[in-house]
Amino acid sequence: MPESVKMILVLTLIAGAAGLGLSAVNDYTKPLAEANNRNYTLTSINTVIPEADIPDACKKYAAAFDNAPDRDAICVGASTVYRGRKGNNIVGIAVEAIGEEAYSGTITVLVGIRMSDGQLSGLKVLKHAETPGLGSVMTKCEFQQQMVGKGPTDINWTVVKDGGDVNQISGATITSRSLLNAIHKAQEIWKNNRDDILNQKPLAQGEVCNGK
Amino acid sequence: MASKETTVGEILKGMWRDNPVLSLLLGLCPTLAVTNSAYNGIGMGVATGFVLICSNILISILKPIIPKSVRIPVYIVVIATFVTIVDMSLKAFMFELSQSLGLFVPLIVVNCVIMGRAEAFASRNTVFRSFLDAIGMTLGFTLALFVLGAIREIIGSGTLTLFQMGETEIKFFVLGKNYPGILVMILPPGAFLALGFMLAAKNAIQRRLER
Repeated sequence: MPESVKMILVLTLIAGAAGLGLSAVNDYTKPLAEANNRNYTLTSINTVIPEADIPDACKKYAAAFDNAPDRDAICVGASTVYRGRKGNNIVGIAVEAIGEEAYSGTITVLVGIRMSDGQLSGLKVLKHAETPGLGSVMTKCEFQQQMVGKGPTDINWTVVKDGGDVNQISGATITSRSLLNAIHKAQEIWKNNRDDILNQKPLAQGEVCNGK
Repeated sequence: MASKETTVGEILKGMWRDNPVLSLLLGLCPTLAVTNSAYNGIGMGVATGFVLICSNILISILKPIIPKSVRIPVYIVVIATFVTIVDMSLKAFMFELSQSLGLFVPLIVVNCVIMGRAEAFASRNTVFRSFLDAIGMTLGFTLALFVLGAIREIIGSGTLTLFQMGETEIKFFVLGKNYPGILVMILPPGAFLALGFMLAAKNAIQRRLER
């Protein structure tokens, strides 16, 4: 057999075998990976819609909802809004909001808002690339405590440096502003999009929000 | 040369004399990037080790049928396949570890340790020797990453995490709960600092042994 034919044959065979093997592994692991992702989403939503009157950011609570909010999501602008229902009443929403102009790109935050009074019921940072030890402090409950459990008019939702009531993370004011930007978006949705929240049909599975 | 090594010697070689991180200085990108905690170091070491062992074995088996001129593409296909398997398995079975290692798992493909061992060892030695070589290299790589991660975590945040999965974690507050932490050790510069001291220590010990 000429060398060139052997080359092509060997490489093709090995690549084919590799592809076959990978598709088998993929078939096996994909449902498990998807279950993990879904579990993570549900746990996060649980964190931000807790069963508590005035939640403490550092404590764990049961969920205030009894449905599956990840199957009951709607889009408002570019934000995904998960609806937590008890019985048929919406008790709280978890808004996946983007905080613009963070220190490094944007941050994605799950903001929990209680339906009845707009109280910020929880925060969970889902994605960020802020400096470890500085900006990343925003993921700590000790920092979030000053905001969680507060209603939209209880405090002035801007950092102290800009004349508000929220103590910025020292050394990471930009990150703090970005986090507040995401919270503002969620509060706006609670205030201005009540009809959408109450009446809009849930997204089909696999559908994502793209800002339209 | 290498063919005269004993079974144990083959393994020890990868752990000390030819340690991929401390002697060969290979695969430094993942080494420096993920070792901000001891557990991440172990995780990365084991993931890389799995790929290294599988690819070393497979390549030494396939060696007789691989034409010389396409050997590098074949190695890459083999390595990339195992890396993808590791990536998918981590996502399915160790969700949190896969999140903290993130992009660095797919990047194992370009880890020079694996490519280097395939080209320099597995393509010239028997299956059994290649297997031993891969075991030694894996132990050496994992050990180096673990020590580096432990040093950075202890100095940087005062803790030592050996295991973490959901609610279960094995974590020691080595320097007390009130330790303020030294940020620079968790950041990339800390990796260079710690690695520098580790290299110096390794060379010092080596010199003393040879004397």
